[in-house]
Amino acid sequence: MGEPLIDIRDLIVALPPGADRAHAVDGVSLTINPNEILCIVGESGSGKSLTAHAVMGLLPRGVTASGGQILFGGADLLRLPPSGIRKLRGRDIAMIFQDPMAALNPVVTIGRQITEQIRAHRAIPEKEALELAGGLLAEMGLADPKALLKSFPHQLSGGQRQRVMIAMALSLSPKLLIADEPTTALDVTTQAQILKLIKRIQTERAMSVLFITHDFGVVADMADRVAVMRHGRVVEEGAAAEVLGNPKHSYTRALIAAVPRGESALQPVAQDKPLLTVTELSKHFRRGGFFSGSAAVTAVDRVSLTLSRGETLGIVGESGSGKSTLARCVIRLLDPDAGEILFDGADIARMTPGALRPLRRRIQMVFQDPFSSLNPRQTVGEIVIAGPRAYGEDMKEARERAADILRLVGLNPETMNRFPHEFSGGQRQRIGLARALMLKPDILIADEPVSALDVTVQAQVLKLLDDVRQQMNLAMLFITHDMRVAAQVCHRVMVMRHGQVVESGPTGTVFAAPSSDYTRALLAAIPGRGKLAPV
Amino acid sequence: MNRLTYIGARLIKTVLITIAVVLLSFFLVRLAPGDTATVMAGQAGFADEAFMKSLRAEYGLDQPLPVQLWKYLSAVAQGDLGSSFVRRQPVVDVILERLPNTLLLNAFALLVAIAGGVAMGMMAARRPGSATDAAMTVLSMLFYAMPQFWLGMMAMLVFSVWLGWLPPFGLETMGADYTGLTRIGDIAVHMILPGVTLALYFMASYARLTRTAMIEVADQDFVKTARAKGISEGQVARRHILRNALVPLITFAGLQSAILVGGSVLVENVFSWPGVGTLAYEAVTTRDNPLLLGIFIVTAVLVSLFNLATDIAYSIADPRVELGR
Repeated sequence: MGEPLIDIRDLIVALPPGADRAHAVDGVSLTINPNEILCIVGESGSGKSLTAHAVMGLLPRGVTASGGQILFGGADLLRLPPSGIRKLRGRDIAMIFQDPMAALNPVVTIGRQITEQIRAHRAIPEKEALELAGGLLAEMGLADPKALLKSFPHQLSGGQRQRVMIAMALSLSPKLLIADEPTTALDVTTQAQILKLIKRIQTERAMSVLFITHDFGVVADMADRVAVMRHGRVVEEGAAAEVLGNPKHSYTRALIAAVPRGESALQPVAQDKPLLTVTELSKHFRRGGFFSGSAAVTAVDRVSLTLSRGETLGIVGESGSGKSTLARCVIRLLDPDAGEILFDGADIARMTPGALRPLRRRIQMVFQDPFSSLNPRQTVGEIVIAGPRAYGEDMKEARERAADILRLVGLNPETMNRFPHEFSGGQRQRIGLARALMLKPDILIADEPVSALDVTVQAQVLKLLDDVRQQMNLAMLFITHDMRVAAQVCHRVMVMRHGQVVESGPTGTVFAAPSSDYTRALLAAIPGRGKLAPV
Repeated sequence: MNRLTYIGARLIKTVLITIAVVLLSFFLVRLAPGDTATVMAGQAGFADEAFMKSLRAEYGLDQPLPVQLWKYLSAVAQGDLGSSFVRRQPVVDVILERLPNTLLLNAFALLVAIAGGVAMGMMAARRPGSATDAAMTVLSMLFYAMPQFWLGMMAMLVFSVWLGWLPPFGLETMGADYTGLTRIGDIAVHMILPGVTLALYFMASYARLTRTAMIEVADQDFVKTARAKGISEGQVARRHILRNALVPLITFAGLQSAILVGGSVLVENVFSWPGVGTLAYEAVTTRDNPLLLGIFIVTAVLVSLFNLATDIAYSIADPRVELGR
């Protein structure tokens, strides 16, 4: 092997004084060779993302690279003056980010955003730069580039925006593309397309890619070489096949084991009398106001389902499939337009708020985003106890039960006096679950409860949900866009698309012999499928 | 909803609001004890019962309230706001004579406030927590806390009386009869003191708003994207941070223009600026109800139109905003 493209030596990244540790990156040495994809794998806080940002000279304010070298083209990037590193940025080294929704300027057209980068490094007129940009968008597989150039980011889907970001990054044919979790915020099928795109352009342009991820499934699809990071250090490094097939470090083995394989182990529960029966449920959304006409969008289209005690039903679909709207109708956060929701013998679809109130307690929900779904000004105790108190439970009794429930979800009861921001994402999701369980529900609706979490934390929370379901004999509706996750906890799955049910059945059957093309596409999109050894 | 339908719908709403304002203010001014006749009689120095009666008959004040209201409404619908009791001139003419002066002063104040405030906010946001930031905070607190009439009098004292740099009051030099460019220059010089006095209070708000918005925007991902392109820090600040931070300022500028139309009463009086503010003050002290009502109505229409302009400006500045939603 010849000269590496980038040679990172003993990189140390210091956190500002008062942080929980002194160094976020603590002596990392890595090389990236020409024409290869290096994946850095690790959980949140492993320092993988800061390592990448240090290469770009884009460390957040207060965070500094205090030691080591990053050699690129004979120069040490850490010692270049700001104007020097600025000349490389975007031209020789380009970067794409995790959240394509937030990574584009909302008030500037797509065209202007791409040409801005081109013209920062090349003295060409705007018109010529726009033509280049249009060509790049076409290369990214985007239809109608001319119209796209004039659009604003909010008019594009997440996948389209990430393609725009990649087009922008490639606009000056950089030698290195840094991709910081570029697919974590996307649906599984979109993720598969973006991964394929990155792989394709890497081969075509023979450039290098530094790919950051927390998901070994993605690593299996993408990497030539892998570096595993933990607590700011590289714990294992090697060729992808070697690390995946024969992991040496126990942490690597744990990360690989945590990746759900998309194989179902759960057998369907005997269907006795269903606790919940939804029949032909529909929900339309209308837009428009006082003077305008209204256009209806059908979010849920005549969906029927049943759910028994002790059973988990997975509702799988991409964004916009209507799965969350369905859940919100079942819990009556939204009023359905048509259909019946029989809960324990009573139709709650059209029940008045007063009549519904005693039943509300028995259907509880756990939300997707553990950072915004807990009130930051309330202590954990207040959050957990508020529900039962609203139903008139005695304060002392509620506190005692809260301690038990917190223990059940794996938290120390002493955490009751602390505030949500003191907890990690996984812990917060446990708090959200404890809040729901305090009301002794019969049905638990979990809306993408693990999609904001790291793979290892996902595995823990999924196991917890399954344990709790067994112990409390709960009926669970589990909503997800990720087939792998559904396979782990669901007895039956129902695949939704455009508001309609595409397919449903026992998880094992649907996975082994999917009857619709759409389900097959979803299964094919699972990253690393067939490339990871079974656990 | 397309922009034209939206504007049409909003104009219809403006008419409805105006009718409501006319009704409300018609009854409101009649809640105060005494009427124009009492005041005029008081000024004349005697209160003969027969004289009062003839005065009331002359102005139609002796008729039942619903009749007065109906007469007033049908007149307003034809663009006739009645006659000023005191000036004995059509209210429309009186207001139209003064309105340009007020609009001129306020437009100037708005520009000064936005330009100064945004500049202060940008300086403060460049390094949050720095000495510059602290200095800007103190300065804007000062502007914010000082009463406008006091600020106006102090400015007059310093810049006109002591230094003699600027004329203390009025719209232009009395009796000079300038024309053309000389006149424009003369008015501009007269506008500086009242305009800046009006602007300072709002400038403080703009400075705080700009600072907060810029610090917030600077944390967003697209700013990182902009840096990753390799453009300079100045370009990042102007094209990406400021451009997005300006969006919330539009809301405030809309509010401010509404406040300014009715709220420059104090400053106009301090500087004897012949605008709607001084006119409103006169109308209140002389119980000139038709004039006062006319000012209410014109102000309400203007505020509605400013709000509409704000919403349209907002939808242009932020493509995510859809009109009518």
